[in-house]
Amino acid sequence: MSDFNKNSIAMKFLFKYYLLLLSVFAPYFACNTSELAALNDHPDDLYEINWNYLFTDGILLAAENRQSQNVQLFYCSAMIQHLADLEVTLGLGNGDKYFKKEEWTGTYYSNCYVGITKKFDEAIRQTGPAGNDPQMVNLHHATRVMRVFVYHRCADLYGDIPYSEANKAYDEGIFFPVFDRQKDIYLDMLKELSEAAEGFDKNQTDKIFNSQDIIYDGDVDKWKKFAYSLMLRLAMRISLVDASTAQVYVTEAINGGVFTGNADNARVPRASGPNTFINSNGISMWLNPDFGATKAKLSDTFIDFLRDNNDPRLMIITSGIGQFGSSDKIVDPALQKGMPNGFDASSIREYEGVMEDVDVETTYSKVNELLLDLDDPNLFQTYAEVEFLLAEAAVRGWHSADPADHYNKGVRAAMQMYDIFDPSLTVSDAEVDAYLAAHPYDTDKGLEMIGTQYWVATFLNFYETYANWRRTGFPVLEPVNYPGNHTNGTIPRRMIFEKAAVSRNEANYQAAINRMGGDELTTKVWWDGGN
Amino acid sequence: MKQIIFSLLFILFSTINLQAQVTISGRVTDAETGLPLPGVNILVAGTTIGNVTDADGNYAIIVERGSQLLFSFVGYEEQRITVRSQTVIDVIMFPDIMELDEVVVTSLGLTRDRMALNYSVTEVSGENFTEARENNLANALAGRVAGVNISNIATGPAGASRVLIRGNTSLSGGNQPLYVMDGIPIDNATYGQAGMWGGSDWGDGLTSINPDDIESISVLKGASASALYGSRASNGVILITTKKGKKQKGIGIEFNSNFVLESVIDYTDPQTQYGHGHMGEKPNSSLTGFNYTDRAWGAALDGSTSYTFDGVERPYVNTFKDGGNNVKKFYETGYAWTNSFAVTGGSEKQQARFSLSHLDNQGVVPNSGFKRWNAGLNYNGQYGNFELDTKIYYSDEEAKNRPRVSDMPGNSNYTVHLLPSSVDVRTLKGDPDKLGAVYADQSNPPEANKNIGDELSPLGSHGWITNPYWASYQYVNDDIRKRIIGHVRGRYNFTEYLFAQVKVGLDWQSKRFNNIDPPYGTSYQPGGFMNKSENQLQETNYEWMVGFQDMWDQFGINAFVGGNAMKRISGGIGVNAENFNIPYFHSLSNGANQSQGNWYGATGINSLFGSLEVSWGGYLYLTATARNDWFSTLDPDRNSILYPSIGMSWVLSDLITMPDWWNLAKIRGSWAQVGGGTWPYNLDLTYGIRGIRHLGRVLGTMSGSVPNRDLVPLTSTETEVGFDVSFFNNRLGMDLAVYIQETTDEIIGAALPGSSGYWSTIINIGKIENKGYEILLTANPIRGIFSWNIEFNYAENHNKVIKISDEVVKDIGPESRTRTAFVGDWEGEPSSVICGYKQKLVNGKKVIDPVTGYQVRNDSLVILGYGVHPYTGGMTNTFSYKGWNLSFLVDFKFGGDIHSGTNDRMTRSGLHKQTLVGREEGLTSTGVDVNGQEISVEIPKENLQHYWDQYAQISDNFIYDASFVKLRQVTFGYTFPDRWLRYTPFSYLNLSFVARNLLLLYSKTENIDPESTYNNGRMQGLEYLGVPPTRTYGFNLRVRF
Repeated sequence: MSDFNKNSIAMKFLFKYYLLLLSVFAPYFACNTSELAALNDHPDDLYEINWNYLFTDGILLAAENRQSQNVQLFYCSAMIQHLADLEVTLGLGNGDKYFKKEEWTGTYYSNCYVGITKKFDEAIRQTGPAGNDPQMVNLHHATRVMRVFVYHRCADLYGDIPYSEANKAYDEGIFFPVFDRQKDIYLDMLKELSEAAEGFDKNQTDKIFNSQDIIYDGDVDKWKKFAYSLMLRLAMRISLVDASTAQVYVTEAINGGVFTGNADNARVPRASGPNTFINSNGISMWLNPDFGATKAKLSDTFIDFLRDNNDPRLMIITSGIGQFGSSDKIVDPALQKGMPNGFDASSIREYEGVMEDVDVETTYSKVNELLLDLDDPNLFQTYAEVEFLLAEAAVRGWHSADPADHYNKGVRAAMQMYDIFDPSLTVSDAEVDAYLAAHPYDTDKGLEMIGTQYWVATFLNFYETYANWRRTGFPVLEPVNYPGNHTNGTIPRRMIFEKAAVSRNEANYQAAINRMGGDELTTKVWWDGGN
Repeated sequence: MKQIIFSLLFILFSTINLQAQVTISGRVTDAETGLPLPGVNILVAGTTIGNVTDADGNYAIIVERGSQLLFSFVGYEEQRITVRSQTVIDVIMFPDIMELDEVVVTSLGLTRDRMALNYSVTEVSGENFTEARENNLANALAGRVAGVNISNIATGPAGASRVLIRGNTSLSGGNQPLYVMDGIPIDNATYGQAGMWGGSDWGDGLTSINPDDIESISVLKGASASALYGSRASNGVILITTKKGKKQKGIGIEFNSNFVLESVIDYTDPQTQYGHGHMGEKPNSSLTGFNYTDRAWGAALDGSTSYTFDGVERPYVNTFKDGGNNVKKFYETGYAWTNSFAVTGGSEKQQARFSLSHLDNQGVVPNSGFKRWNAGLNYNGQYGNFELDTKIYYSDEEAKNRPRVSDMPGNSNYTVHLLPSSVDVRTLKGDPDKLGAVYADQSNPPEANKNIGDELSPLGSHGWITNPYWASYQYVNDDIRKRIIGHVRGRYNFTEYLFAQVKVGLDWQSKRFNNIDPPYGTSYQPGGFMNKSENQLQETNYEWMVGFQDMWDQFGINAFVGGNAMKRISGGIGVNAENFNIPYFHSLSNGANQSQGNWYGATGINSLFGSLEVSWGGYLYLTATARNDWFSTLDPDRNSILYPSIGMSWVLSDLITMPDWWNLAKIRGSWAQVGGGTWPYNLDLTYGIRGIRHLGRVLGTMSGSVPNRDLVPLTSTETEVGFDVSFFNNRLGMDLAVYIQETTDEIIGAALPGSSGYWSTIINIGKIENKGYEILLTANPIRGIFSWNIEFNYAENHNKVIKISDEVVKDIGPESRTRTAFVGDWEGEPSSVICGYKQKLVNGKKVIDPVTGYQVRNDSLVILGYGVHPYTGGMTNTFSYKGWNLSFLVDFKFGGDIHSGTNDRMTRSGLHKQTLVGREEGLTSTGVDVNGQEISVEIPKENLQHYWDQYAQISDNFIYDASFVKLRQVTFGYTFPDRWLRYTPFSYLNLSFVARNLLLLYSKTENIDPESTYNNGRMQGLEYLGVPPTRTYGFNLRVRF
């Protein structure tokens, strides 16, 4: 204490100054919790959003991008012999030769929830009766349709998947959703489509919905048609295993009103930027050598069918044989040649009977560059498919109409739907008439003709081609039997889950695969005759 | 029990000398020469009372018992000695070599008498980091501190390090301790690490610090040691004390130069009998050469010719015979050259130190490197009762081409390790003026769309594999970080026993990244990609403290209260450009598509703390501390938590008469709670807007993690007991600590199945337990002209996840790129279990596919190993003779496992020696079918690749025991005697040979370094084609003027 008393005036001054300093700092030491809590408000986070934004983002991701093509391009396109590739375990080689690569077969499942259906579920929840914006009626029902669209693809690929308990970790605390039976999922999806289709209200207009809806620009009538067209697709999908339900919904769809022209086609427009991973067409990116690594070519099964039948689509689907983008190609339709499925760089030489390497670029027909622009659209469902489904419904006696009439309309629509890719890709009515005259609908082979045309018409929507082919068995495809393949030389019937995605929900996953009889490429899903 | 304590206390009181003021005298000598040292400063700590030794090295001073004497002299380690019962204190001064100080730096930068500590703290002197050095300071701690587990990461120069103190207390993967430099918390956030999908290690905060500026590092291991850091202390605290100016005659100038060469240690041992190809055949055309260069599934190497990636026909021979394998041919000999210069000076009242240094490191991956400039200025002044202490430390770091690791694109290591022996990696050099590119005279025909100047693909049909020269020379992965760490501390001593201080600390850094993926290289970004970003990070700490310290006879009180306000703000903006309009013109404005992003995060913690220590006679100490923290990241209704600690230290040997040979016996015990906060923005469900639109439409996103408003801060409770003993005139010493720690309410992002709608949920989880012991043995068997010192440390830590949550009992965390192994946490198991898939068995027999003959895996995830070693330790032996000094450090870790992605990939690509079986005739696969029926299937040699592909799906096949013993460091030096220096300007000259990572003495892994790992986060126990480990060796020169 004595030291302190002896302090000079200067030291006293310093001491005062020190106290002053302390008082300057005092605010920092106060445990001001409101100021502290304010730090936790992120300037870039929203606590509420216009739910239309989630809807748009979900649609865009549902249309997929470069990174999510593993199932559709690497497996579906090759398994159904639209495309072929000389690779073995890379790229399309897996679907071409029936190897399992679960990190690729599982992609659709892994992507479908967090990025896509969760956004739909959130928009549905927030715009539903208990949500924040119950007056957004049309957004609500359009989102329900989109949600079904994504789930039906997923269930078609894998069989039983989480559905009724999915995306509920936040709202209901369900961390480990059960896998529902594909049958139950289908029944619910049909009910959803029915309610959504009825729920659309033309008098409710929401400017934001009009501008955010990238499929129909807010055209409620078209959404309604899409809902019923999708209902028709789903109903026909279960035709072999639950005919009575199928018939009920086929009838409801037809009565409700399905697509009536290519203008109704559900398609997602794409763009070349600003970010190719988000904005651009993923299939285009893979098949365009400037962006993708695959050298896949059109399959000989596909080319042979188009060429042998003088199909006017041949030179729309292919631009000929030659380097990508070059104008110097073999464009004579008669000389078009597809690549056989199931070959590699060595065995293809024997197949072609040559000693030298086979240059795939100058040997096989390639997908038309005009279908592969970065801003080419993705098709979800087309009018042509609807006509073929109606034709089949007529054959099955669930729809009182002439199957030939629907078949002819379907072929015409399918041939004339490529102008949205490029205005030059047109088929005249006369060409269609000539084709139909040369290949008239034959009642005895009705289902095969319908199925085969469906197969051609769904080119570039390989998910749908694969699903319908599994159900109808048409066209009859000859499987390949490459050494060491995993299916004993049979075309896979479903996709395998990625273990990484399901291992975090292992008990429910095990229950599902026990029910389905395994998690293999050869396991059949319910509507394909499985469990 | 009570009676015993009372009688002990009685003895204690009756034998104590109540005289507080004593005269201490003694002699100060040089440890090496034994000669007396004149002019040594002696100062009573915390006062201005002092004296100087006379010409014969003698001194005398009047002090109070319990106070500390500081002995300092230029060129010698400062000595602090507490006056207890002694009257004569002879001091031996050591010329700057490591010595266990009597006084150690503890929490909040306060120095404490080692005897008062009730917990374990290990101090490592700066010398240990300067001779044989590491770019990342933390790596240099490896094997030196009991209970501290350091992992080197396989990511190249200036990568991050992983420091684990007393095991995983947290499942979230952080587990990194708090770093405090001169009393100011500094940032050690990692900027970016490789995960399963690739990436680079962008380093952490510890690469900024030049080891030459370090006086010592103290490791506060237990909760009691770090309790005053409250919520930031759950993973332990590492205190870095930098060098300061000293009171001395004239100015001291020190110069240190360290030059080491760095070379790759190659553990790979691939098969060299079969070359590249497919189905047992060598490529016999340019297309097949192009398609099958990446796999060793060809024919036996017969000296004929074959085609490779570029369509050129080359000899089909083992190219590894000549000049070594591709690892040896590709990696270069790097070097690191550090020059440090320091000036110190000081008077009675003011001291300063100024330092400058430069590090130039050329990495082993071609075209990679790291440079660092440091400047530091430290000033201490005493103005009467006012003390001022300021420091400013600046660093400027430049990393060039941080290597990419993990996934294939841009990863040179991947390609180098997996090219078959028939392919010499140097054939991939291509254009000498643009390495890795196709040039005019060269054919790379199968890729029609590629041109001169594009990547010379090692495997054109598979654009994900990158030419390693292209990856090294055409990719850009640079960053520049500028950083300022500084503090100002003002302290006013009202009286001898009362002081107040205010401290303001700042850690500010800006980091600029520049990344270019050149066009026409990887399939991932065929049009090219570029990213530039600017980041800033700032942490400020405002702290005040009022302290009181006094003694009444034997009874002493040392107490303080204080507060701290911490605020940390980080953020940045970045611009991406992709698809260059003009190829190879790498400018953001040249991108056909451009997008941008920004990120931001702010957290704050306000705290009040206090400590009370009461002591008796300098041998019995009771200490209690408390800290209360308020968090910004938690709901204001439950954001406050109190962290208490209490402990006792008892120097038995000062109390009772010990045998002559027993010098010290100290018992300590403590109990404490510390904690951890959480990262911000976890309380509410949030939405976001994508930076880019789609055809004018706004795109909305949602958070991928389930928020949780009910989060509470985690608490880690630890009980520790220990004792310190030394015998035989301090020739043998032991420090033992036993602890048990339990962490509750840890906040983690538990991984969820994506079908729940979220990738993770933020939850408070149950309980993790760590228990173990640490032992430090020091021995000094030989003293004198020839001396031998041994320091041995060993620690065992047993970790157990007792409970996760009601919903989650297994948290499956990060995944290996092989997609067959995960790191997870399972209830009842140690944290960081490696899980994966085993061979499917029926009645104990291997199930094989009856058609293909491939092994069938069991699809449920099971535990295959443990990613963190429970047993760690190290031993340093130091011999000195006159001016010679030889020291070597051996360290070891036992009990951990590793899943080797490298061996998985080597097997699948036919390089692993195990794939040699059946190459000529195929092999017979025997096992049972799913019904247990014995079957055997002939696998033709064409199908071997698929056979091994399926084999690799069974991750259990690639689990190895990751135990190892390494000769970590050797230094061999000579200090020139004074008589030689008499006619030179030098007062001190030492030249040493230094080497690190010399030998792997014991290991059970093949083809890899058992320490290899993806990153410093949660992926411990997983490994995948990283940068190989390196060995450094060279010289260190130190002079003083």
